[in-house]
Amino acid sequence: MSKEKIEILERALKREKEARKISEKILEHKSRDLYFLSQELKEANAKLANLLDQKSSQIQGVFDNINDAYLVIDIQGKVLKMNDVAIDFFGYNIENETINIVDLIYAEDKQYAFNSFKQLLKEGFFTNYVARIITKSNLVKWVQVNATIICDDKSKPIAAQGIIRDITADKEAQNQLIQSENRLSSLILNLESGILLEDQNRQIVITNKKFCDLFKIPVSPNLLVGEDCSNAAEESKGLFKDSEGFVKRIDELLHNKKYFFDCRK
Amino acid sequence: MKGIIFTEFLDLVEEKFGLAMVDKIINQSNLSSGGFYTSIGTYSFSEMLQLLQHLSANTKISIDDLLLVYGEHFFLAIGNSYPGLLDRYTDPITMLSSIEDHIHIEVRKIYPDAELPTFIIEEKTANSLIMIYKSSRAMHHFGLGLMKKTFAYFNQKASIILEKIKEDGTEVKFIIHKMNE
Repeated sequence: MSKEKIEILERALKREKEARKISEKILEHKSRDLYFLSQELKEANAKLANLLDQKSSQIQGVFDNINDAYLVIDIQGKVLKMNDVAIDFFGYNIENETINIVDLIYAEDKQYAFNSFKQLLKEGFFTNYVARIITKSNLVKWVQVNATIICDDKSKPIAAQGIIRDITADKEAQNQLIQSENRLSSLILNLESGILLEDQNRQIVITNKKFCDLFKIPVSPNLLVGEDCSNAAEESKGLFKDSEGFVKRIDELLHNKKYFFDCRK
Repeated sequence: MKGIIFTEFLDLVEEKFGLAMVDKIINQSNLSSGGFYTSIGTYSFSEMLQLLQHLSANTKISIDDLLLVYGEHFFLAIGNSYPGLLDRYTDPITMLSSIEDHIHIEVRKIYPDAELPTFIIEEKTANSLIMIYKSSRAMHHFGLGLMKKTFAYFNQKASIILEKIKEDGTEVKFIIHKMNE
């Protein structure tokens, strides 16, 4: 082998050796960079996990502490999550048993419930759904529900969540009020005094037979409900001894918007 | 410029003209790297320019022709080293029009600081492609070699016309038409 060729090979060998050393240094440098980067990522992940835990804990706290029942159900109605208020209210606990929301709906309200659920799936929410449910101890309760759909990252509905407010007491109070009104109506209809109750628009709300008899009105008192009585005082003043005084008194009462219950002959 | 461009270039010079030519052009050039190239390193473009100029002077082959052959060689080198890069394509026009959106992205995964040319698609049909090449390095014939081998890789033929938009070759239009067998 010629001296020149040996020198060429020696130089090539030297270049290869140097290149190898440079490569090794670059790789070491990259390896160190990767190590620091991986440390940074680990720290960032730990921070994120911590933040997520805090958020989850805050959200858990909100739902644990609200005064209303909170339920999460899947699309088939199976209860996936319930807070303590829900456990107390419904009497069921998903940790011990499987519950489907369908089993909680009061039979007569099922169609309304299914229609509302269809609306929930279609529009993503419903508000002020009012219906009855049956608890585990067979108590019928009135509830008001506000619900929203939970979607996956592809916007596909996967669950629904709702806050269920017990309005049984409100409903009972409302029923009692209606019953009281009915009793009052019954009392008015059968009183021996003539009664006429008109609303702020001067339309008759209720009157009784005695009133019709006194004023010689030849129809049933029920037929007068809703009639305009703005001219009634003027038209019937002839039946009073002090006609003008009667009209004046009625005008005065209407003007001052004061209640007056006594109407005797 | 990434070291792989130097190492592959010197491999090709050795293959075509022998180790003595590699030794000669390195010695003739004033290289701050000393000619110690590694594919994962980064070196000055002026070193490549000197190596090319000396090779051209020693072989009497124009720089454009040297770059054309080098482009063809480089395509094969990529194909051997990163077969996955080419596997997803079934058509040369699709592959060439994906340089910016896919190939360069893949290159940057391996060489994050690579300074790559820009390819702007002006017109594309199933059988033709018009692209504007922009690079301060004016290595358009290297690109031409890559394009020619792209068609050969898919066993297809094409006419590729190269029109210089800027005289210094930093902006060039490639007009590519696939030829029927």
